[in-house]
Amino acid sequence: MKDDRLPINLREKLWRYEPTAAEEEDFAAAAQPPASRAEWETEVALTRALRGLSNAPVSSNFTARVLQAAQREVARDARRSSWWGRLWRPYRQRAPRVAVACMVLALGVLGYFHMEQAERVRLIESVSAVSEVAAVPSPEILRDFEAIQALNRPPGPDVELLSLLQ
Amino acid sequence: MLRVKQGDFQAFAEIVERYKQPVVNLVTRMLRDPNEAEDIAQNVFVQVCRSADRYEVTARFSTWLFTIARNLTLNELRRRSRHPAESMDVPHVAHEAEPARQFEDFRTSSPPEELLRSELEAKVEAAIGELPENQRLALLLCRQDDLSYEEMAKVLGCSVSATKSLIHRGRETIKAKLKPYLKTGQWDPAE
Repeated sequence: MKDDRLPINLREKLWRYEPTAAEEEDFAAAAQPPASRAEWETEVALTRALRGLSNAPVSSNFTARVLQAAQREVARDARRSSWWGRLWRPYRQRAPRVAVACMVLALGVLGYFHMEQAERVRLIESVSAVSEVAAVPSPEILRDFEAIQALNRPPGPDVELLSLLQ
Repeated sequence: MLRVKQGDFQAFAEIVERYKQPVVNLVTRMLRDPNEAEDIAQNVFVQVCRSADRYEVTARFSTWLFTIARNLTLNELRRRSRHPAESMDVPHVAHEAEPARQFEDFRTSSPPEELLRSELEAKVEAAIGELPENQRLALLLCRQDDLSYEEMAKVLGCSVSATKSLIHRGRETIKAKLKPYLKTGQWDPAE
């Protein structure tokens, strides 16, 4: 079945531009089938509609504002390309990450020392508790324990004397 | 552009004057937001100025310009999809000190033909706005006379055949939506 549609290259041309009067005449004179004719007219109508859309509004001071903003950015870029900027530039992007990494590292080191200090304190406390328990007298002083205990015992009643007195 | 590379701001101003309308048209229809569109369009030109030293003379300037416009526009659309839009009735904080942009309302004192044309134009705008981003962009680039299909493909970052496919699908969708208006082949029924 013959394809009554417009040739692709003609269609693609109609997407961009409205046909000139001469092109319209040529197309009409070519006795195109009705389907092609209808497609031609629809494509032309749509292209005309799309190209005929009104321009979006643009502020009257648009260019001035662009120039101001561009000059600001160019000046900023120039500062960055100064000797100080060039010196700093390799590190500028990395600086925040390096700062965060240093902070994390510092927190880690501080935490480690804190933990170690706490451990040391705990150890000292446990050692001092043990040392208190360990402070017992030497067995040497128990050598005369019975003699001392005997001295502390009160003398018992003199039964012999009591019997004589009776 | 060579003069801009050498720091000639007068040349840059000429470029802005020449291309501001097409860029604003493209960005406005992609974002469907005239206020933000101007800011994005300004950023496009600022980016052009900042990147002037990287511009290669062998490339068409308009291709390079619209590629920047495409990138910034798509970035803004992505940003909006991540953060819902603020109400347009509330003045934007950054712009509070600036006078509000004022645009003439042509509808209030226009003859009926103009009103009809405005209404039809609004329908076309709405149809374009409802297209997927890539088809919308392809269709809008197709309006630029100084861009060939090959250059459009470079801006879009796809092949020429893919570009034409996007344009074809976009046009078919709009044709289907505007069928009653296109039936007679006449855009304005009053003609």
